Amino acid sequence: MMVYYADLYLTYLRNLVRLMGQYRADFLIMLTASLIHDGSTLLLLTIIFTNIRQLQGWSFHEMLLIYGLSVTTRSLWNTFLDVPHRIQWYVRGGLLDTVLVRPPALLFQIAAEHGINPPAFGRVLVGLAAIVIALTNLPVTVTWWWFLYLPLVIVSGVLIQFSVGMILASLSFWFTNVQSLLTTTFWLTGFGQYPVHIFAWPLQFLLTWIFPVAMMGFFPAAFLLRGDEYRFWGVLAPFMGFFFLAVALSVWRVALRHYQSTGS
Amino acid sequence: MTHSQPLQLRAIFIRYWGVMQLAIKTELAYRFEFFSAILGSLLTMLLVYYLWTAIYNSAESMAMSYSNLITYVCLGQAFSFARPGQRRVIARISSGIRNGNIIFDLVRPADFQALAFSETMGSYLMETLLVSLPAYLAALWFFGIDLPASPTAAVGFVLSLGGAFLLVFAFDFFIGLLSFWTFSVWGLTYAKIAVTDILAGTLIPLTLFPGWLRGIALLLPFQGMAYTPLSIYTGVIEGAAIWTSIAGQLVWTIVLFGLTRLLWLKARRRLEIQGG
Repeated sequence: MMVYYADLYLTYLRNLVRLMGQYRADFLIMLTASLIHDGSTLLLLTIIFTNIRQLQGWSFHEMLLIYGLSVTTRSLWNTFLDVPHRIQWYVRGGLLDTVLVRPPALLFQIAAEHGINPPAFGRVLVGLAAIVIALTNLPVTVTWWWFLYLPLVIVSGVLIQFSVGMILASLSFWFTNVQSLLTTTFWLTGFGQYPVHIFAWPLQFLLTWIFPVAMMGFFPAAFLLRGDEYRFWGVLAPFMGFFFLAVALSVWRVALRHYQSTGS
Repeated sequence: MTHSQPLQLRAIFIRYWGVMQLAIKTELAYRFEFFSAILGSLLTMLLVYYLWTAIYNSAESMAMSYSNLITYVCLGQAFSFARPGQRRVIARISSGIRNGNIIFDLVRPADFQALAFSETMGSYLMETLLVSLPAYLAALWFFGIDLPASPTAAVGFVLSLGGAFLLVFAFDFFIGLLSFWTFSVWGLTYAKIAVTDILAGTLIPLTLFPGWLRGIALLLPFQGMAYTPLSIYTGVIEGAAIWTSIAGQLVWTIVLFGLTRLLWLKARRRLEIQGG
């Protein structure tokens, strides 16, 4: 089963590479563009810190760690699992029937058909670089369990985005336009880049429990840097994604049962 | 025969007015999108409000006063210059080339650039009325941002908003045309947003840039897309400088329009429809 899916995924990827070859100039521009985009966010952070020394007690390199974690999770999701944004193309374009009649699992097909998103992968590297630079410049001692904790928290973050996206995308069976709702919701990920305490409490609640973007960057980073103060949040963060996934999959199942083909 | 000239002008006006109205109606059909666009800009406004308040509180001294700073960044989000509607120009040209629909635009008895302009104008007007204005009122009400620095500043702001629109259109059309060479312009659009977000001064007021970077930003056309209207509103640009900076927007617009015109004439000959 695993081999079958791995093989299938590779086939999809090969098709994608061929497609990229057709649009080579655009692909290169895209890659440069995404680097410029992340460069600009880093520039933003740098400019902010030319005006201040600390942002409410958080130094530049601490902010860089939060930023790095947040960008890595966000871009990883974008690279491999941006299924929610695609579902509605399938539903509205009547393509869902095509995927439904094929044997492999539905969500796998939607994820694999567009394969990976290389520019987003470039951004993953930027995020990882930010994490490494931040950690080498901070007075912290890296212990062995960090190498388990960091990947786990990143995976959980990817699942959080996937799940929240899936719940919203499930609405596309009832409403025609879910795109703007998705886009709007994902603007919230930008909030995850900053210490959650700078926001008012309703926002803090939203960012911690409803769409927990703070669990993707801020809380894990704060836990690693100031363990005692953030122990509860730091321990909760790696589990959040799995909990959200369970909810999202049941919503998706209900929604799919509701699906009626356009018939054409 | 003396009547033919005005008649023709009138016909031209009616034609493009029609296109504009059509764009307005299309926009209105997507009420849901408007709702979420307002929500989106309020959300981002909320983010920048708290972020800049925190930054201000952490700073020992800052080149701008608190109310000036908050007014600037919130207003910048309300009249965001990278909204989907304005990017429509790019999407229209590039997807038109990819799926071949551009041919329908080319066979129409109208100038393509003027067609795209009337259409963008229509959606821009609707966006300003239905998204930017409500967001602006919300900013006044909830975040307590300042009113325009003076009546002259208010007039200057509205005029320079028009100038910013022309600049953005000219620039977007230019990027859209590049898809005659690159086929799809996703990457360029992305880069454009990143560059303009910084250099137009939407995310950070140019006033807070380190000196060398501010020097560069002030030489480029991007500052006219956000920094100029926002600084006129907050009174950072005042007196005669208001009119010279609006003139600056117009000069850049004319230069960019000229360039895109040349490029368009070249591109048209290069058109290669994908598939059939």
